[in-house]
Formats: sequence, C-alpha cells, structure tokens
Amino acid sequence: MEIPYTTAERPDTGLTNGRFGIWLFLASEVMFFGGLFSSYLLLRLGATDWPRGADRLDVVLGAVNSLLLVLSSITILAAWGALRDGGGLAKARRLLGATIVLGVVFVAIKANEWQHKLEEGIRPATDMFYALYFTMTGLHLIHLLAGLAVLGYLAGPGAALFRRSPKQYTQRVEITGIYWHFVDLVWIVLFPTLYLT
Amino acid sequence: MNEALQTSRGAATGGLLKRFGVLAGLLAVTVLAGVLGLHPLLVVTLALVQGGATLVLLLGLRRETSLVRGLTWFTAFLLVSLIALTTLAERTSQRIELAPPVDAAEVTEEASP
Repeated sequence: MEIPYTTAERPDTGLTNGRFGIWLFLASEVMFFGGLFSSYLLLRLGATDWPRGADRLDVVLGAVNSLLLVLSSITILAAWGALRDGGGLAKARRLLGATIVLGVVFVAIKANEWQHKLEEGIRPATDMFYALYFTMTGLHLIHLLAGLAVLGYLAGPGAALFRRSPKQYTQRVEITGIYWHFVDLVWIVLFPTLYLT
Repeated sequence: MNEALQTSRGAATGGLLKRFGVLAGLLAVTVLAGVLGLHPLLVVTLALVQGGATLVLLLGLRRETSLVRGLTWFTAFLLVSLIALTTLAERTSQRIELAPPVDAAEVTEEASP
C-alpha cells in the first residue's frame, strides 16, 4: 500500500506529510529545550552569585564550534539545492559528506572540552553552573549525533533511493536539513548563554 | 537553457555565501560583546537576533506556508510565556523569602483580649 502525500503536497495543509511532521517535531523540541532554558534562568536568577561563563569555559573553542555548525548548515542547504536543481547525486553526496565531517569535528572539539573538564575533576555535581553546562551541552550533543546518524544513512546506503525515487530522496535530505538547522539554532542560543554571559 | 541554469546556480552559490557571511558576522558581534563583558541581556539579545536570522536565512521561514509560520509563532509564544513565567515565579519566591520575619511576641500581644 502506498502512503499518500509522501512527495505530493496535501491540498489542505499545503505540505507533504514529512515536512509537516518535522515542523511538529521541532515545535515539541522547542518546548523541550525551552524547559531547560527556563531551569537555567530559574537557577541563575535565584543564585546569590553566578560565575561568568567566559572565566570557566573556552570561548574560542565554543566560537569555532558555532562557526562549524553554521557552515554545516550551509553545506546541507547546498546539498539539497544540488538535488533540487538537478546538480546530481554525486555532488549532493559530497556536500552531505562535508556536513558530516563538520559535525564530527564539532563532536571532537566538544569531547575534548569535556575530557579536560573531567581530568580537572570537574563533574556535573561540582556546582550548579557545571550541572547546567553538562546537561545542556550533553543533550544538544545527543541531538547532533542523531542528526549525524541520519546524514550518514542518507549519504551512504540511503542514497539508493535516489535511483528509484529522486523526489522522495530530495525530500528526505530537505527534512534532515530542517532538523540540522534546528540543532544549529539551539547551539546559537546555547553558546552565548553558557559561554559568554 | 544551460547558460540560464549556470547563472541560476551561480546566483544560488552567491546567495549561500551571503547567508553564511551574515550569520558569521552576527556570531562575531555576539562573541565580541561577550568577551568585552557587556551586559548579559545584550549578549542574549544578540544571540536571539542570530537565532531569528537562522530561522529566516536557513530554515526559510518566509517562504513557508501559513500553517508552518503559524506553528512557529505559536511555539515562540509558548516559549516566551514559559520563560516569562519562570522568571516571574523566581522573583515572587524571592520576595516571599525576603519578607520581614513576624515578631512572635507582637502576634501574641495582638491576639490577647
């Protein structure tokens, strides 16, 4: 049985099932991260003294990571553009590969940052600042790893779909791109909140 | 036809570079504000501006259907309400804590006929 509106837009919503689904999912994700940011505010405003993020965390590494994510958002957008404009699967796979590499470098930098903290004996239980730092960056990292897994599938075995249904494959790349931009967006707010204020 | 396609691809690449430039520029300004130790609210506001730019430039919110835009605005409204209520709750709890302690002797005096 064929599922309707996989690639065609539903007349009532003007969206395909996949795109509508990802936007609904992202709305729930906003509330998930919103709860975390609210907890951060509650604890920070209630504390008599709060350390400055720049004194405890490496701003340069955080800024490099932000730039990497913005760049990866551009490469995934270019991959989708290549598929949409008939640029070919090979070009799109190269761009998806570049997105994966940028994501992996982000993970490596974050792992390095965490390792240094753990070597210094800093744990989430050290104080409230580090509890929030590990929780928020850790949950963001899980989201990023999930995105990398999907990107790996699309650039690897999942690309076989392009031969059978190029439109459906292009749409999968677009939906993954929307999710990836969201992960980028969360980091864009997370970085100044934790590192710069 | 091919020439037109090439031109369109060139314009698309230029557009992507422009978007990257805008986002990288905003990031640089935010980092500078943070490093200079400007007020946290200003730094967070700059981050939110960057977030808004991401929504428009990367997620293409302006080109989306009214349903998606409505959903985004509604989610943003819920998020702002959540954060505002959290802040308010925190302020209120502080006010309760800071209320002057009641003098037990005074209360007993008032209660007696």
